[in-house]
Amino acid sequence: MKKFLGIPAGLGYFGMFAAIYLTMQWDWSSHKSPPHQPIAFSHKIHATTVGLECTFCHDLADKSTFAGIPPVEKCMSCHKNVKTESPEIQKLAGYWEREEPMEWNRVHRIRIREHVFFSHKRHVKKGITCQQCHGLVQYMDEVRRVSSLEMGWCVGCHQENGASTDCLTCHQ
Amino acid sequence: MEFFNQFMIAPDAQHLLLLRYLLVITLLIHVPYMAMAVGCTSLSLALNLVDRDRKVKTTPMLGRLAYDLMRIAVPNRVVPVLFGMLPLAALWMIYGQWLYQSSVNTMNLFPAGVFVIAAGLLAAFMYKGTMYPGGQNRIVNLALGMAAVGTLIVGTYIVIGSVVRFQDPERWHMTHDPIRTLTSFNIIWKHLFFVMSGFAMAGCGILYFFFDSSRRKPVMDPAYMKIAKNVGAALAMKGVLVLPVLGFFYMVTTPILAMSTEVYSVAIAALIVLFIIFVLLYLVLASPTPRFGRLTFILLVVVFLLTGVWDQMTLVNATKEHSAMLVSRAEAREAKSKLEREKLGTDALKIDLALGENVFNTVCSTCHKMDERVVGPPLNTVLPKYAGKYDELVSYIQSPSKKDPEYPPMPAPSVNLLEIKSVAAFLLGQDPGTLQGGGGGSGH
Ligand code: HEC
Ligand code: HEC
Ligand code: HEC
Ligand code: HEC
Ligand code: HEC
Ligand code: HEC
Repeated sequence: MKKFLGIPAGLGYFGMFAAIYLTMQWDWSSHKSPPHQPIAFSHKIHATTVGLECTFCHDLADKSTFAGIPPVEKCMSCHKNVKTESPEIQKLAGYWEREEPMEWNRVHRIRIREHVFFSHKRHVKKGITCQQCHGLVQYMDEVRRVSSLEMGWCVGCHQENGASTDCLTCHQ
Repeated sequence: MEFFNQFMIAPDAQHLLLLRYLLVITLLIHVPYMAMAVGCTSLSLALNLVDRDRKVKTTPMLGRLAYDLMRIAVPNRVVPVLFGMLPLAALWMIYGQWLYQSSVNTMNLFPAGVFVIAAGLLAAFMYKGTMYPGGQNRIVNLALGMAAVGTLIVGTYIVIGSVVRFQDPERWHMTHDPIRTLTSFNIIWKHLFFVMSGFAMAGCGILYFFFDSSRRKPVMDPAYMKIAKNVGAALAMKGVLVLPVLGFFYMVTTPILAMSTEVYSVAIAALIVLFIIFVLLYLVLASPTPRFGRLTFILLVVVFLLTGVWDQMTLVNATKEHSAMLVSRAEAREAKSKLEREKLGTDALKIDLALGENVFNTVCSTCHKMDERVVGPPLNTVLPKYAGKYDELVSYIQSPSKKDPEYPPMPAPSVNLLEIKSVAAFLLGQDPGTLQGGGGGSGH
């Protein structure tokens, strides 16, 4: 019988990896997959089908550090009349009537934000497109993060474009 | 990509779906063979190097096994072309179509890798030709063997590297520098995974082609049989045991956006099949006679099928937006050519106010009301501009241009020319009678 001890040992070995893979799957779906939003807002509909400019909604992108998420009023400037019968728009109108701000889940966040100086204005004014950093957002139904936002990513692009790579540029 | 894009046609939705199936099938034809060729050639070279029997003029067991391994790797001229080179050319086309007009440039590295692989397979062929029993010059033989192993490893690394790059859009812009393109842990783990699966494949290849295939030799020296069985099963066993570790590191280094829960499920399925192979190999090692050759071989091919599906899935995930863009452009092209086809016949068609009203209520009313601002301006305020300029209104609706900075731009509505003409007539209160024939029909 001793001869077959290897089979339970193998079961333990492969079982351990199955457990690891399952943990990774759980970790991915609960922490790393793109967040779901309170309303099924689609960039594909608004930026490609309706054809809106990014800065029509993210109007701070060329003016300030943050690009900003549009307030519910901006949505309602159209949706008071557009698609009012849709349950998603009725949800939206509910927020507006209650004067409650929409809690959008953040997709992009530099991990140690308080130690990094990053500004949209500087980049957008230089003519870098939103897509270079955020991917083809206009074809996303649900926004997902395409770039890691890690230091290597920032520095890589700065090197290619001859922008400063001095530590103090980004860390103050 | 510019150079490459010249040879490609812009794909549409069905086309992309077809490419996904083609990719899995081509990978299934190519990868098991290529992995086995790499595994067999490396093992053959290793056995050849340690073959001390040669000096004692008895039966050179290891040398003979080294030779028989090469008979699996490159049995004749046809197999390497059929399973090696042709599928590579197909893969080049498939990936090129899939990533049509993307900024990723590694499609230029891919053919370079293919040439190196071709050289490797040729060297493997010559290595086999100069071996025991026919070969005389051991130095030339060993040099050819080393050249074969080296070029095959480098060639497969380049090909795998340029393909693994596709699932990392963040680094697409770096792809003009080949060294930086090919240095990534993700690629290294994937390549190690490939080489190790090649050793497993070579081991199972011995068990299958020596003992279980219809082509097996009727008489076989029992001592040789025992060596071949043990070397084959032990090698396959090592490969099977190390693959879960490499799969783990490969998944950890794969960009998050290429993953999905399904990818992990496929990896777990592959793990289960690997466990079954493990049990079978264990029984083979414990028994004095070779068994399960065909079964382990087929199960290992199933593992390759699963990893092919896995590769296809990560590529689909990573290029989701790019594919959405291709589909959306294809739809726009289709709509445009439909419009143009219709344009040819419209002059004869009847412009109809009822149709115009219908189009207005179903299409335009999403964004327009007569007296209220919706997405677009209230039409009462803009239509006076077009009084008496029927043609101008038709061409504006056909391809809207930016007018008022107060409003977002109007996208081209998906309606045909007859519908546009009818809605324009409806809005301007034109009498369709005056628009028939030449005059109003000329649009632009
Ligand atoms: C109709 C208004 C609108 C337009 C037009 C629009 N966005 Fe957005 N955007 C939003 C809203 C609302 C959110 C928050 C909900 C979400 O994440 O989907 C958002 C979120 C985002 C985010 C993720 C923010 C985060 O949480 O990290 C990015 C990036 C983004 N938009 C980029 C773009 C780009 C690029 C364009 C142009 C192609 C664009 N947006 C056009 C409304 C808009
Ligand atoms: C410029 C006008 C405009 C603005 C601003 C706008 N939308 Fe829309 N939205 C539209 C139009 C037009 C459609 C319908 C497109 C279609 O399906 O034909 C739509 C569709 C939608 C839908 C899908 C409804 C359905 O059930 O099909 C949702 C959800 C939505 N919008 C949410 C939002 C939110 C949230 C905002 C604010 C961030 C917003 N919209 C801002 C014009 C706008
Ligand atoms: C140089 C790269 C870069 C460019 C160009 C860029 N972004 Fe961003 N964006 C970022 C980074 C990094 C963050 C995360 C910032 C943080 O953590 O605060 C971000 C965050 C955002 C957010 C989340 C809210 C916020 O302001 O933090 C939105 C929305 C957004 N970007 C939209 C846009 C739009 C629209 C454009 C184009 C006009 C654009 N971005 C161009 C890098 C960029
Ligand atoms: C797609 C390319 C790109 C990426 C990615 C990028 N940058 Fe930049 N960045 C630039 C360019 C180009 C400039 C120079 C702008 C100018 O000259 O006005 C710049 C300028 C800056 C500046 C101002 C430098 C100065 O001289 O004052 C800061 C700060 C900065 N970037 C931070 C970041 C951070 C932090 C990140 C990552 C989260 C990042 N950038 C990612 C291209 C990029
Ligand atoms: C172009 C912008 C940029 C420049 C230049 C830059 N950094 Fe950073 N750095 C970042 C960003 C963004 C992060 C946050 C990374 C993250 O969230 O993972 C960061 C994070 C760090 C961290 C923390 C790492 C961690 O894992 O917590 C250290 C330490 C650091 N940087 C040091 C430096 C030093 C030293 C230099 C000069 C050689 C430098 N940085 C230059 C953008 C930059
Ligand atoms: C997705 C929303 C949308 C749809 C659908 C739409 N429009 Fe518009 N329309 C607009 C917007 C936004 C403007 C303002 C454009 C501008 O000022 O640049 C506009 C402007 C116009 C104008 C005024 C152009 C000018 O010279 O100022 C006319 C006329 C018009 N639309 C007719 C139509 C007709 C007819 C249809 C139906 C076939 C239609 N629109 C469908 C959004 C839409």
